[in-house]
Amino acid sequence: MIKSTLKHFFIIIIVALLQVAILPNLSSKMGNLDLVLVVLIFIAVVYKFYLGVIYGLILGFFLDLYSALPFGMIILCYMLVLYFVYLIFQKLLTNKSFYSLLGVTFIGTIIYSILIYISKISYYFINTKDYLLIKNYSIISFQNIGWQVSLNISLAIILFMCFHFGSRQFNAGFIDTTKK
Amino acid sequence: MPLTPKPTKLIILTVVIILLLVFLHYTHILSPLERAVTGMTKMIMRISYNFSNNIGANYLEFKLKRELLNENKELKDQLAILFKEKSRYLNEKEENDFLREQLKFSQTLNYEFIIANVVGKNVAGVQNILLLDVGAQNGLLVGQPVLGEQGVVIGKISKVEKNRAFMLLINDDLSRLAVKVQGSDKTMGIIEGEFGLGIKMRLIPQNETISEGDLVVTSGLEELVPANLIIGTIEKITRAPEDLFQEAAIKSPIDFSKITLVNIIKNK
Repeated sequence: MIKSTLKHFFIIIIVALLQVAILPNLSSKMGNLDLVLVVLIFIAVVYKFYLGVIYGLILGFFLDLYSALPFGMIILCYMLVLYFVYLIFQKLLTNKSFYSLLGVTFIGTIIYSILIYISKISYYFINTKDYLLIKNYSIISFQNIGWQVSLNISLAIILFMCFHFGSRQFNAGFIDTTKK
Repeated sequence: MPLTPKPTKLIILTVVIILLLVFLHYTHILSPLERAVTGMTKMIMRISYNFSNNIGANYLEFKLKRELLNENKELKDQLAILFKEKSRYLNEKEENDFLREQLKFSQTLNYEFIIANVVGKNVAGVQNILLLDVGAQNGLLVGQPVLGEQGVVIGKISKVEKNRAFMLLINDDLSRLAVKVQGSDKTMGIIEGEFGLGIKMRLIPQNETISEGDLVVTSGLEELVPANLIIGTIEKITRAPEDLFQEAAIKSPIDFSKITLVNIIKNK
């Protein structure tokens, strides 16, 4: 139990630090990668959904501390994305496979981008009433969605490959067709 | 999908936690925890920030170098194109200058000219023959005089084909042209080439008085060659008392190795 908790603790710390301190300082394109989102979707899909929610709450809290948005927005966005992922798995998909992981990552990234976009323009609008700023931000946001989707899917593929070859759990996990 | 506890409960629990966190944050109850978290991660953040900044800087430097290399390649390509353009421009300028000179010259002389490009040199033997891009269909005939810059005679047409012609330069040893020395009681003679190295005027009677610097022009004795076309000036006179004739070395103002455009006097 302690070992497992420590393992999760370290994963959360590493993911949070990478997201907050490393990724934003890489090139402008790499800054679009949302490591936390990919990890959350991956855990929710591959492991247990409630574990993804716990990760989301902790990582969201951590990111909110470093976010310029009002506190709670990031957690809320992550939780909504996880909820959509849950709905997709319940209503649309029949099993957990490599392709379903990529599909869910794709949809999750789009939903997250839209949620963050709405949050930011609302926040900017309330604070500045500057339409030009909102317009410019909108242009940049929509230009970056393609990059964000590509990078997130690439990371999901890498994560899948790493865990597929590194853990026996995945050999069976991706042909599981049971829904509980 | 394994989901414990029940989805509804989990959603409600999550919403409650989020609301609680937001409430605790804005009431500053959560401040000690937030300070503790940010304090603990501050050092790691600083190190990782510096590390990522270095990576970012290195990446930017690499990217900049790559961009500079690409730019360098593009500029080199552009430079090559510009060199080509410059070469073309210089050629055209040279041609233009020549044509202007010829126009001035042809206005002073009452002849009709055919302008020809030199497209090649003799490739067999040691003859000083140039290949021209005009031929019989342009009205060229064997024996017509060929003029260079300023209307100076540089040779004669030696062979004519339909679309091209060969001209024999006057410094070729096979070249013969009837000439006279201007201003010296019409001293006649013949100029011959000296294996492409120079021009000699021969058959000048011993009793004729000529001097260095005298102008040598065509005599007009040849059917297709009008009189008074400039050949060059006398550079050196050779007199031997036992010989019947004296000789003179002629200096032409033309550089025979750099002829690109020529004029051929057309028959009237």
